[in-house]
Amino acid sequence: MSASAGGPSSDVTILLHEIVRGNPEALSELVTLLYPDLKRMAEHRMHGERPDHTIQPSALVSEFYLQVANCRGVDWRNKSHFLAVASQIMRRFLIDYARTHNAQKRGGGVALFEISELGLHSGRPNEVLIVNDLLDRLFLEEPRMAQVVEMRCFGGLTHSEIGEVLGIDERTAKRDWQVGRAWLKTHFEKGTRLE
Amino acid sequence: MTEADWEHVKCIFAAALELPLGEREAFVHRQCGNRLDQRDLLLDLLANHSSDSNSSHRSTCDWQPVLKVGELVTGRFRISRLIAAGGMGEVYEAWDEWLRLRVALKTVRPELLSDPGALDRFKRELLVARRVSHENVCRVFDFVEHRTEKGQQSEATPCFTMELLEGETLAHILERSRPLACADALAILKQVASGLRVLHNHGIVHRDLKPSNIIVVPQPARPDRVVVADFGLAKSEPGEVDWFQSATEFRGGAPYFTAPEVFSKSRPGIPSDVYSFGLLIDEMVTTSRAFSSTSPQALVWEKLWKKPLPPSSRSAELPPHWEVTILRCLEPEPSARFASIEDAVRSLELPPNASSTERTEGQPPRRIKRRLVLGVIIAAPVAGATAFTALALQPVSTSIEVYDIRNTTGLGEYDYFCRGTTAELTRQLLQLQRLRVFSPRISRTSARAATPARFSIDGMLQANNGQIRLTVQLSDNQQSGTVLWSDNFDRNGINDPLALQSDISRNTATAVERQLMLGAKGPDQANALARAAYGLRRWFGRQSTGYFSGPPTTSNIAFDFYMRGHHLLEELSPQSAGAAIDYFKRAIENDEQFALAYAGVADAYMALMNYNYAPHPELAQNARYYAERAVELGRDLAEAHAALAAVRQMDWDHIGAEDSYHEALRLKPNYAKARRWYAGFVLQFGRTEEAIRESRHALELDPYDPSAAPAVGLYLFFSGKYPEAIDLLQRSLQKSEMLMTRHNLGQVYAWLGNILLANQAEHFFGLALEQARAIENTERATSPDGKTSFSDQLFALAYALHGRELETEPYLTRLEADMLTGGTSPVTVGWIYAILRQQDKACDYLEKAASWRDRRLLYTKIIPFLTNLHGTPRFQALLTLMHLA
Repeated sequence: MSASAGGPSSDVTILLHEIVRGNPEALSELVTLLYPDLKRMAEHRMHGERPDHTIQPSALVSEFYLQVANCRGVDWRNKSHFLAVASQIMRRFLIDYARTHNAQKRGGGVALFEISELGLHSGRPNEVLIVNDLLDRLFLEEPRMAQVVEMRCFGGLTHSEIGEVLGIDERTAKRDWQVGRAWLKTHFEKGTRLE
Repeated sequence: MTEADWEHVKCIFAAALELPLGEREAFVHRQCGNRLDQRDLLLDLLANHSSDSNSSHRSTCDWQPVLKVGELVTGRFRISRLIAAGGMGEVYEAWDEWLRLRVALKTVRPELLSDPGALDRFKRELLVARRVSHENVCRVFDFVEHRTEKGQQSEATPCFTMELLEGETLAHILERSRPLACADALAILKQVASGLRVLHNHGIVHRDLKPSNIIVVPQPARPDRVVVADFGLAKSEPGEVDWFQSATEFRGGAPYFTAPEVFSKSRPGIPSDVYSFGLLIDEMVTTSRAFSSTSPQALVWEKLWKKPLPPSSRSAELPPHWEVTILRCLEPEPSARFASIEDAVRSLELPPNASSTERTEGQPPRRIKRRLVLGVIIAAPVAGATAFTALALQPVSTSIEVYDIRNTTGLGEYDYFCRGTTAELTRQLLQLQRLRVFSPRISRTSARAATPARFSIDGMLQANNGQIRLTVQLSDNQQSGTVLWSDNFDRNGINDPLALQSDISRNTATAVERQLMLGAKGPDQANALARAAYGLRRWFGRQSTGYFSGPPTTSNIAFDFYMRGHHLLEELSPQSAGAAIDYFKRAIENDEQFALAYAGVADAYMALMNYNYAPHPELAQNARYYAERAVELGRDLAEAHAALAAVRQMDWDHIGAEDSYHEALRLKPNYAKARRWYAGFVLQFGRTEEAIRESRHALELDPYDPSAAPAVGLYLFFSGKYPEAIDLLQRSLQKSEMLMTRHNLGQVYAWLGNILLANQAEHFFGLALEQARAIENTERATSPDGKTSFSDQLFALAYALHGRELETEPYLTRLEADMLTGGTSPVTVGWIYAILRQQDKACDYLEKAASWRDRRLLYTKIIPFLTNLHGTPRFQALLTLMHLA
């Protein structure tokens, strides 16, 4: 990204140090700091996207990640930090976007997101919002599993990359994903039935 | 549920998945016992489990080809079979019922071109792509829209037709026989490169170069033809199409071959293709990939923040220069990569060290090192070496070879430091009185002719954890390479090249001097070393003696950009001149007072005007602005005055031009290029003696400047010195093949075919045609658009001068057409009409050229081809207009 994408780079540096030191809040602060500019970039991209056209977040992801990677002043030597921050920013953007545009009419000139990794095929314009709420619930129940699902669905990471970020082995990441996905689907279906 | 409960659930879930479907429920019941909450949860979870393979790609399951076999598209293309389906659309084989030939028809997913802007851009790009016709590029024919009725609505699928290639993709070949031997890989890469060069010349960036887009087509009794496909359609303005492009690419898998910047806002350029080309080379000659990440996300990170795994670690016998080439292509920063695909290929072709074929019989094998660049023979006393006169040395001939400073860091960013320093060394040595300098371009040939140099200097740059070490050593080749002196210069990265060079200068010069006093084995050696030391001091002592004639810049970044631009400008191509301008301008961005960089920009704009004869008021305007700025900022800078002189010459401000040339040569008497330009300048007025003297001087100063021989040959010809002209041009051709040299030689022959009598005339006329044919062959083989402007000009001249008007005609017609695109100057056409005695037409063209100050007009007063116009009022008026009367 050509312009500075973060706040003052000194803040970014401090937060990165904090993440390295294990401060759990630093990560979300960094996401918050970097978010506004990245959001502007992503919205610019989404502008003009074809109405009623289904988009998978993974299609956005590489480009988005490049923007994150190019944030001026951020030294991303640590791959895990980078992947964690980028997938959280990605999730936040998708939710923001869906909220804003779903407030307009259903299918009213906005692209639809479909989280293909979950295989819900609901065709519901607010699919991504429901998934977001469910992920928040899951986070209260079993935080690591929720993180795994988040990275997989919104960040497009592979099991081994998720394992690297969270410091678990690949098999554990895969197991968490399988269970987490089934959990989300179960609750998604239940919610849909209730409606 | 607690964390432990969840752990329990996960374990049972994973175990249940291992069981057949029918046994899972019972298993869960058994495992959960009385924990009913867990049991219910697990049953729900299992009911909603889907394996990865069938959950995510619904689209592939519902996928239906757009076209059916036998279907007729737009009443013209009959579908024969589906060849492939990809992210962008499908490719079919079809029969073109109009033209009666088989074509490939590619559909484009309508959603990719949904908004009208995208469709328009796509059509524009197809139009550009259609103009590309080259053996190594897949031809694009037509754009068509296939309409289908869906109920009430009609839906259009955009399609285009392409050349049908019957071969195998490189991806398939590599699946079977990776890694390829370097020689086999090179044969393919050279063809890929020539295809890409043509695309780049048309302003098309491929953006999606990968093995599956390269088709190898077997040809009977000929080498395989390698074709680059699927180009151009990827190239687009930044904006929505970018977005679609990336969306489709990722659907198709991780964009392993794509340069990181392609996904950014910035418009991808040639360096993006250079990056993909690097990965392509790597893919062909190694056994595994340079980046291990599999997801697009991590790939982006890895490409930007990690170094590729060294190719040599993934290939048993990869030559070092292949590794260096690959790594340079893969620089994350586009400007640090090769500026063009040709540069990358050249770097694969030319191992930097001396190959065994360069040795002559009986000559001792050389140590394997990067063979330089120049050998210096000191043939006579060095006028300025007063410091050493105390040694009462006799003049002797000796030589010192200076080898390229080898960049062993594996970091492409230091190539320019090493190459730039060597290039500047060449230039600096040329400044020394009575030195003969051999340039890099012919060093192998000249090394064969000469005895091995008595002394040699080499340097090597190493890096370790950010620390940089430059080692320089002086050795005596006649003492089996005994090292006379060596020193290391350690730095924390080269962020200060000026300081580093200054440091080297002090130490090296002192050391060589000491060596001279203590270690000299006799007057000869001492003498030689004295001169070597002098040269070295001049070389390294850049700040004290003036590397250039003025202080260059205090900004290291600016200096680095300048060196890159300077290097490119010497490559003599429109592309490299354009890239040089960018670098010079970036140098100026970093130091607005950097006069030398302004002069560089002016030179590069003037060079661009030499490659295309269409009127370019903006180029001239820019050249003028930058030359004037250069002089303003660097009044004592010879380069600035020379640039301004050339601009004034173009503007027919002869008095101003002469002043500027004088000033440039006063500041730097041994400035070969300025002296050559000055020779051309005085020749315009018929000052032939002076022109010959100046051009000979220029040739002595820099005998291997590639532009010098053809230019001086022409001056000799214009001055009526035909045998000398022929001799010089022929000798030059033996050393290096250049179209310009052949063209000028052909002109001399053609002229002799005109002025001599009978048999002799026939003889020279034949020789002229021979040159024209040779040029034509080269043009046919290398010209991207198949144009033969250069040979057409010579054919037309030769036939016209030989009085064969009928045969001149077709060439003349072609030239007049070519003139419209700037390939031929109206001046050349004017010459031919003048020879054919169609004076009015000739004057029309010359006047037209004069209206935009075509640089080919400079020799109007003295060129023999215009003799027929002499004395006519219109010609006289033209000379007056040009202040040449």
